[in-house]
Amino acid sequence: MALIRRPLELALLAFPVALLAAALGLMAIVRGGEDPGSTVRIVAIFAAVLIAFHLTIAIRLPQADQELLPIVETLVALGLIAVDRLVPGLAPRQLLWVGLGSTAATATAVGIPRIDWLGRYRYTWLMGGLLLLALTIVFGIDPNGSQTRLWIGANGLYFQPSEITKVVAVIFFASYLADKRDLITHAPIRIGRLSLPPLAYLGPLVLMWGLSLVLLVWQRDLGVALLFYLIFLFLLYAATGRTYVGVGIAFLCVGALVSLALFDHVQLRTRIWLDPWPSAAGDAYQLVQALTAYAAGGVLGAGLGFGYPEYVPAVHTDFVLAALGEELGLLGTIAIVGLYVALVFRAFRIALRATSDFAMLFAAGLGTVLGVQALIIMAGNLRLMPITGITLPFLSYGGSSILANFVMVGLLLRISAESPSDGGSGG
Amino acid sequence: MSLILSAGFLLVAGALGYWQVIGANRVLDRPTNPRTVEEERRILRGRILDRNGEVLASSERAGELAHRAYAYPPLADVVGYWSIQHGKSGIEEAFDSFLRGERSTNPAAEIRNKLFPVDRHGADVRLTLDLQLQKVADDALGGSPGAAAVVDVSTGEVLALASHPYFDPNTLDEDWERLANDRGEPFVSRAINGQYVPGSIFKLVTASAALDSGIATAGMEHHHEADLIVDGLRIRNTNHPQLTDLTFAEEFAWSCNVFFAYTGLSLGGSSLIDYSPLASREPYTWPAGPVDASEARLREYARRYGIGQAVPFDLPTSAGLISKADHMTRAQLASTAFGQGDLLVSPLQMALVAATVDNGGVMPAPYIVASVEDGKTVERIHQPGAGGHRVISESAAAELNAMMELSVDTAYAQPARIPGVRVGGKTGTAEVSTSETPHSWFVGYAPADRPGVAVAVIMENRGSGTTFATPAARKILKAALDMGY
Repeated sequence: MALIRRPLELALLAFPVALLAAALGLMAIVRGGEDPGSTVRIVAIFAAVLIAFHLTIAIRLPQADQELLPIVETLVALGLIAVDRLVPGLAPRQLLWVGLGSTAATATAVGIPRIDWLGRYRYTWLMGGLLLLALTIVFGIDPNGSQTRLWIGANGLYFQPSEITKVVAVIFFASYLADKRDLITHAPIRIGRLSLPPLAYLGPLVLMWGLSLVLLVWQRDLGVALLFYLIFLFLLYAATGRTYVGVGIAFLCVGALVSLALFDHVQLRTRIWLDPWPSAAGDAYQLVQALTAYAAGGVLGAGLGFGYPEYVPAVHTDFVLAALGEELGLLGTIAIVGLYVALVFRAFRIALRATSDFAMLFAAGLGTVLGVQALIIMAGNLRLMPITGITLPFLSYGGSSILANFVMVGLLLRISAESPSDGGSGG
Repeated sequence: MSLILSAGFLLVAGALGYWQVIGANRVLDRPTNPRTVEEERRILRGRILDRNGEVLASSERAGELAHRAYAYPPLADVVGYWSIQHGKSGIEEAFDSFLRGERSTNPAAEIRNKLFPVDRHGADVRLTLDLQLQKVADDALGGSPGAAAVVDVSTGEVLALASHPYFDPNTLDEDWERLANDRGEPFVSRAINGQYVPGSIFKLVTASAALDSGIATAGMEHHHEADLIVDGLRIRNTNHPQLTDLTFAEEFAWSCNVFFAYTGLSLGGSSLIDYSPLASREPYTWPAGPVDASEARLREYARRYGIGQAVPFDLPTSAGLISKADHMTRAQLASTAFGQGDLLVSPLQMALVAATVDNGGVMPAPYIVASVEDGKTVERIHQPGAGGHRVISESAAAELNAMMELSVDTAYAQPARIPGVRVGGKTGTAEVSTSETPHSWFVGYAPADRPGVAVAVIMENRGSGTTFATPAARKILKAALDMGY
């Protein structure tokens, strides 16, 4: 069979399909009195989407990494399970986004001429991304009552430009740093024990980064601002081998203090984070209910359909981990953390095998985005830091986020396919 | 870089471990956890049954939630209520862990409830109450606030506990405001938690102290016409104008306050009490001098009968009281000895005093929960007849038994007579204040020739014990005997 060029991926993809079928079937039984057809349809469409994805990559990019997609699709299956559990009517919609995301991912992986081609047009991408953000500020709407105007669109179709800006920022940083890494690395300015990169070379980078941060802060979307900042620090380190830890922390502290002083909602979230219990019935209700949901889950969990995650407001977007924590227990949540670790390390492995500086930095950046984003939201969910409204990659309900994250997967697959020596552990 | 991310993921995993396992119970115990309430509403609670399986409380599923219904509201104080807003009471509270399926007599049911919490259902609790007898007791009280306690003497099973006024637990949430402010206190389970002045029924305790200590006999005769003056308190000899030569037993049957005040003050001695000072027509003045030994003996017998201590029981009971003061004055001791003084008792306590006499001096250990039943497994909660304790000697009990029969056959307790049955009883008319009608009391049992059924009835502010509580108690005793107890 000529088409079975990627046997490992094909075999591994059976797992998310089986997981989804088992979980949705179980829930249909628990809920009772449902049309079994809708469960069958969801599983069948999911399987079809996976097979299409797999076949397209098998035909066009047979050398691409074989483990990345199964990891992602397992997270996606868990996300579908969570949505079907929490808001049953939304599962088909989420599945639609998964289908669109997969299409976008294959189109990206197959369609771009060369990975380096992306880096060549970095200013174009950046301007586009910033323009989108600016448009959001002017025309942004709030279709779901979240009190933040982060979406543009109309007639029931909305997307969050910051999700696209995220990808664009990684392209820009990676490309710029790949070009200038020697200059930035070799002539540091030293102030006492602090070492700063030469300003002339770092300037444009800091400027772009600062501009996007300002735009984001303006949007009151601090989770994304923090994510951008951390991507910037990580890529700077990956490119130069210097941590600039002192500068990084100093900038972070200044940023935190400034936003604490400027923004009411930052103050509120910080107060909730420091001590949620006194306002458990008010401002901290969501966090307290989320922590209670984790606690109710224990080690083994209540079982799918047996918990009460609906007590957590906005559970399917902001607190999916809490819902799964209640019903799947510590075993389930640790498995999810494990999937993210696997995803990040797969991306780093792809970065290490990349042939160009840009591809290396790009892959590392994409891995970092996914990992750091998962960390920020999970840490907020678990009271390790204040809550920020960003999504848990592939798990949370939300179209733009699924779409953007799938595009990043497509890019990682393409980068891995361009590494001729070893196209993945199955190659 | 991967180190920093790894550290981050480890931290997240650690936090998951903390919130889901280590710190979980502290979070779950907070009032912010809605699961407790939510689960509570879904559990199909077990039924509460009378001894014959008559349903007193049961639950039915209405959608996901369960609905609780109470078949016989007059038992609300015993069966209790179950309300999300207002909590639980009575058996609903005391046997909650069984009723909600947390504990079970059936290990398979316990596992089933843990595995399928959505379909959790509890075990049934079977009471010793007899719904038919309970209805008789509620009828017998009529509209009067008051209480009745009926105990099976040989086993300690409580057969009926009536408390009026009562409330309807089916409409508790709607009625709460009104019930909570009701001066008639419908929530008080008067039969086990009522705190009443005993009046003359306390003479059973004073008589027990004298007879059991060997300083009086039921048959001892004396001439008695005098009033008694104790430190300026004049106690009048009014209860047996027709009799001047009496035995101890007749003084008891005619409930003479002078005689029992005198007996109480004399309890400290070690030889037979000399009643000759009461023979004169002139009032007798009690001499100055300490009565500590008499007080100590009266307190000792009150303690043996359990007055001043909560009765060990399946439901919370009140202790009652015998003088809080370290030392009673002579006048206080005299009043206490005939049941007025600084005294409070519950109907259950007094039913147990009567049961002790009918049981040859051994007080049965009372209980109201017979068994917990889950499917075919039945676990008895108490052993019938176990746990009793001796209060007075068999011979003292036999003398008291005869005295109580005499009271029913010839004196104030005559309305308790049942043809063909030997009935023992003692009436009480307890003064509560100068402006209020006294409480009407009766304690007694039938049959007297074997351990049978003991009863205590109180009707608040109703008047004479002979006229009101005694015929009510007779109805209950008659019904109990007809039912074969």
